[in-house]
Amino acid sequence: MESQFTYLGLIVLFPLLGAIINGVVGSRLNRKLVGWIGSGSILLAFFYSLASTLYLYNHGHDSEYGDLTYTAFQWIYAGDLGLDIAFLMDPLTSVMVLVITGVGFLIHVYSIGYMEDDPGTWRYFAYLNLFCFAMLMLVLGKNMLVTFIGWEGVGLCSYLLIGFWYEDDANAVAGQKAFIVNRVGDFAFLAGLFLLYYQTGTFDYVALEQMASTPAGIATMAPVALPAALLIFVGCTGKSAQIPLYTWLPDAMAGPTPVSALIHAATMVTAGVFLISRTHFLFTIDPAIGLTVATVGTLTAFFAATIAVVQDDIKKVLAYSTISQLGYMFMAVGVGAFTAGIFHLMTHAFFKALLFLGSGSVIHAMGGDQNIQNMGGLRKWMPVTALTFLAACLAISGFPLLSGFFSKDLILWSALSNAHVLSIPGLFDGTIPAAALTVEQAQPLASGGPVDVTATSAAFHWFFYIGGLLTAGLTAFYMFRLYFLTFEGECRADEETKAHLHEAPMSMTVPLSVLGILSVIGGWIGWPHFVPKGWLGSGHKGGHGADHAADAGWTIQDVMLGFEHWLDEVFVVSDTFRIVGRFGAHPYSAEMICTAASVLVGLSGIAAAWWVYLKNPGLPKEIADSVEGLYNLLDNAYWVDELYDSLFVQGAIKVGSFFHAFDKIVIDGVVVDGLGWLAEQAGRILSYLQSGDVQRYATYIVVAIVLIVLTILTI
Amino acid sequence: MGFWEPLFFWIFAVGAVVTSLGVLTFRNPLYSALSLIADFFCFASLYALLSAHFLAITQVLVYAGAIMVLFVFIIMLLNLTEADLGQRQFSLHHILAWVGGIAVFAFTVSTILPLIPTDQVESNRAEARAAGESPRNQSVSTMSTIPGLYADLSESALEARYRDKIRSWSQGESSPADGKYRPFLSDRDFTIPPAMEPGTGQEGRAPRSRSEEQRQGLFGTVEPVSILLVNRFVVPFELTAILLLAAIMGAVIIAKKRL
Amino acid sequence: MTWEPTLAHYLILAAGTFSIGVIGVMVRRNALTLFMCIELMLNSVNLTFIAFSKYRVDLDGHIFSFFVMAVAAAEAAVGLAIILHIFRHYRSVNVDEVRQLKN
Repeated sequence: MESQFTYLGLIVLFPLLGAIINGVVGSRLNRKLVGWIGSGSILLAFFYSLASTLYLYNHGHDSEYGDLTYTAFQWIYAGDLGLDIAFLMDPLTSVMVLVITGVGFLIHVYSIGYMEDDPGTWRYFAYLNLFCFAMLMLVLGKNMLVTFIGWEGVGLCSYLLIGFWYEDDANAVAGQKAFIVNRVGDFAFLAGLFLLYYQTGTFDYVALEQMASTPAGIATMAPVALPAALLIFVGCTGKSAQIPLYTWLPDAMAGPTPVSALIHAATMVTAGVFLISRTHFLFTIDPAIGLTVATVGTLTAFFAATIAVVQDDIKKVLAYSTISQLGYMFMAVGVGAFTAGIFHLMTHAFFKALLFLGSGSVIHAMGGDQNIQNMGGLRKWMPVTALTFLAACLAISGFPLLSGFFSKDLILWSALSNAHVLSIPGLFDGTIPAAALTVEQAQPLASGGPVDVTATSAAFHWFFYIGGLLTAGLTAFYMFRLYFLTFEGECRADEETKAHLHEAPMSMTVPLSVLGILSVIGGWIGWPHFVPKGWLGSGHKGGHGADHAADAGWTIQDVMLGFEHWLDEVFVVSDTFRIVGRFGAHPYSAEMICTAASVLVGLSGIAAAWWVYLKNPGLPKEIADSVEGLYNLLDNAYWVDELYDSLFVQGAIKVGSFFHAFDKIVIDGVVVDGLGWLAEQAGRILSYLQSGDVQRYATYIVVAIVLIVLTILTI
Repeated sequence: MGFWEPLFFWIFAVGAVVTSLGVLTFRNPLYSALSLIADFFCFASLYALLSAHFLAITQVLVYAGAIMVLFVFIIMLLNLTEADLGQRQFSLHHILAWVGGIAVFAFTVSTILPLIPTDQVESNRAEARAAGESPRNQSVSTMSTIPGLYADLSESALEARYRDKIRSWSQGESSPADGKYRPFLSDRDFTIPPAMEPGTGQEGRAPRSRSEEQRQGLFGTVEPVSILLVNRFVVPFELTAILLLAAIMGAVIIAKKRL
Repeated sequence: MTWEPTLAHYLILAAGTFSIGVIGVMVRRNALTLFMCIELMLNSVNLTFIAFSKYRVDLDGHIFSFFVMAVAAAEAAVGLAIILHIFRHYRSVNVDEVRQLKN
């Protein structure tokens, strides 16, 4: 057992302290002070995250699993079940923690400016800190139940913050919708969790991973692997807004914009991607699971992108864009490219947080108006916002050398090239030990072996790739539609709004700028392999991190592939035994073609947007009129909300009203009132014993004790 | 086992019961209080018989001295008259009370009595005498073979059972605090504070260097009790101070005429 | 019963005085006497502690008795103050006359 690494506890503690301080005494404090308490607690957590990451980098490999752990206290010990509130920090967690605290801090600072005029500032910061606490619990949890606490916690905070302005009924309803839809997913998650525990007897990630890396362990897990993984995946679709549980996210934009940036773009909604990466050993046991995840991801990415094309609400566009990008991440983890998924998670956190904050800045300037048809030409008034927004748009569109380009290309390339090998019979039931299978042995098996799974799944992988590529084009199109309509061209706002247009205050522009820089350079640690390995030669030491300490000097290749090397030990079980490349070991030319294709698609998307919205401003209306049916379909998001409403909500209401009547008549009328009547009568009789004379009471006590002892003795 | 030690036990035991009944039956609280003082003296004597010298003195000083003086003081202050004491009243719950109280006693005794194999002890002793062993040693070994409540609690028995411990103390192999002392900072070594014995020219010497004979009478005296009190039980001991302070303040606030 | 006092003797003696205390708490109406009976019960418990302490050759019982005495002292101080207060209010120290929770 590794020693206690106290920093992990502190990372979680500071946001909790911030939440407590702001929640308890915040209402009496100065608004600015409340904001700085909130931000400061996250900043402290960020520093400790940074320190932990550095420690992990330098010393993490001394211990057996290369992980830092901290057990806060023993939580539940009953029978065979032993649960601690314990935290685990491995490279995967370190990335998540840094994103949460880093981006979280910037958004806190931004919020100080954004929430300046709101009387509920203390409530807002308390919720926001509480959210960070829960999110950190989620990613730092050493066992699945600690993760689940965080999982529920972020759901709660999401609900509280969506309905932050609860005076407006619509906001409260949106919060409830998010909460209830998430409940569906949470229930599935919990069921999957218990199923897994029932079969394996542990909630601990490390123990589960060890189990999943031995043939005997796989044999134990195999019976529940598919249902458990699918149930957990349903949980993930709820939290991460995937088909079929995505409908809450667009409505969740009712909350304050920084909340949308932090919770509904950068962190909470990526919890599903994180969870699948955390339990990657489970999701790669059976290729069917991965294919399901990736299919759902691809469909979500595409359909959300099509909806985003016609939305007029600036935040709705971004919401559907978030769903679409999350679809990408699910595609990545589905095909076993966990590193790519987490990489995109990180870059997406940068540029999507930036987009939301930028839109917040715009909404702030427009006095609350969110319709992009009323904007235009805002660059003149808001140069910083416009510039950073442009950087984010370029990044998300996959413009070369910006962060989104690297991560999205890695996903698309992985979608095409990865293949599962583990459904080979014999390997699955344990007659071929999984540990005996190296990459070199797996590849011939995979490509031309007795059972060629890659051939059966190749169609799927082409589907993922094409779907992803189309989505990339749509993404570029709708993002630049948004940018052009908002910041370029003529201003369509009325004169009064125009007079109020202004650049945001410093506390808002500084986070924007920092995120803008991150959106540009954030991807430079994950270049496509053909650049550092093919063009620059293979000068890196590579491999697992064990020799980090040995090679004091970094080569440029190490930096360019840094993200992959940082994470590769996390996914070693899946990467080594279960996922192979379809195109051989060094498919640089194929990778290059893929990259070129996606760059081309992205640029044509931008060009199309320019052509339609800047060059020919009348064109959109004509197009919309010519395909009115399709337009309406997209504008109403495929009528999914209405469908769910008639299927589930109305049904639930009918069932509910029946039980309401049942409750009124049977439960309240007979049971509750009857018990009350009984208690009243009994009390009337017993009240004679209550004389108020303490000595009588003492006598009753003694006589009762004597009677009890007598009973025990006679038994 | 001797004659005088048991005799004193019986005297004080009967005295304790009689004075307790006095507390219960005297109508005037002042008589009850005086009876209780006598009772406390009986208890103190019993403690002394049980080698609890320190507690025997504490009993006299704190209970019989301080607390009972307070009682008497309050009784005098209230100056209760015959009318204040009220008529002796009898009600149903008095019967219940007596039945309950006697039942409590009966249950307790009924759990203790079966554990005293009087005949067996006597026969063991007879056997021992027949075998030519000293009955004293026999009684000790009988104690150790019967788990439970039967024990010879005379000084000599204590001495015999205590001997090994004392020997190891006097030879410095262990200390009275062994197993009783849990240091706050586990990395710090603990040594027993040196015994201060003015005039012997041996101040500062560790107590474990005493001779075995000097050690024999130590059980229950101030030194071993205080070693425990200021080491292992130092936190409760200090908390007691807070408790007493709180009690003083509470008493003042409650008894003040106007709040 | 043997002539020599054994642990059982002490326990029975303690049980006896304890029971007397219990009966006193239940039947005596005078709050002062009632209080004294409580002290009597505490002392009986102390006696068992000390007897066991000697039987086990272990000083922990002494320490516990010591703390019981400290608590008894605190209790006596507060309890007598309460009795004083009650007497001022009701002009009586008979507990059966004190049965109202207010006024």
